[in-house]
Amino acid sequence: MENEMEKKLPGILILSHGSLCEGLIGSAKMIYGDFDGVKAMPFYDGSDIRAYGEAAMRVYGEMPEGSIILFDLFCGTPFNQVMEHCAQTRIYGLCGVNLPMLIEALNFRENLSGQELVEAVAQSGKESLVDVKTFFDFS
Amino acid sequence: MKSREVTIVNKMGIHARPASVFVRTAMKYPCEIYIEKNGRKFSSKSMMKVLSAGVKYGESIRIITDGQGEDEALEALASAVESGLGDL
Repeated sequence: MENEMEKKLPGILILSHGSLCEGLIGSAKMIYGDFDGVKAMPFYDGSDIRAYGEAAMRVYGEMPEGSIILFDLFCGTPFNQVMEHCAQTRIYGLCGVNLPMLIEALNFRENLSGQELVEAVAQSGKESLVDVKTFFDFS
Repeated sequence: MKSREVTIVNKMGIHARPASVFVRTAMKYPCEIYIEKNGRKFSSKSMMKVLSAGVKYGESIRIITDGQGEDEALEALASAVESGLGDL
């Protein structure tokens, strides 16, 4: 019987233009502490676009079932390349990654995976956008 | 359902790191867990919710646990808060 303590947490793959994805991991570690199973793949100007998409799908394919991809930008190159290469693979993902989404994904993956994890993280992402005027009393 | 009132000892209040410690502790228990402040309830299994409570130094919050493991969860969370959530 599978030991609960040894269950594989869903992985988190973060794809971004430039080093945003790596920076997010560094910032998340400052708040959450150390973690495993999260990979960053920055896409740089001049990179081989097709090779990037293939590599992203290879990394995602090696993650446990129910892992998620967090993209920086809907219809940006990292997103488009995964869409090009994911025909044979069911992927779970969200666009518009930010720091709260990553931290909540780390928390929620203890109990959720796949589409449920995506939906919970999406909700947190929406809640993370706060107009600072709500913080002040201007009356 | 169990609950206990605790006072925040962190000089900077519950900011990101202590909130993360609080949520990670809460995630270990299957029961429903909330914090209540000024009559408003916030889920303790989301860092955004805990942060949005805006809990400051010296303020009191009520930790509410409900369901499987509620006693253990309440003890662990109250103890964590009283000891500063790793960030005094």
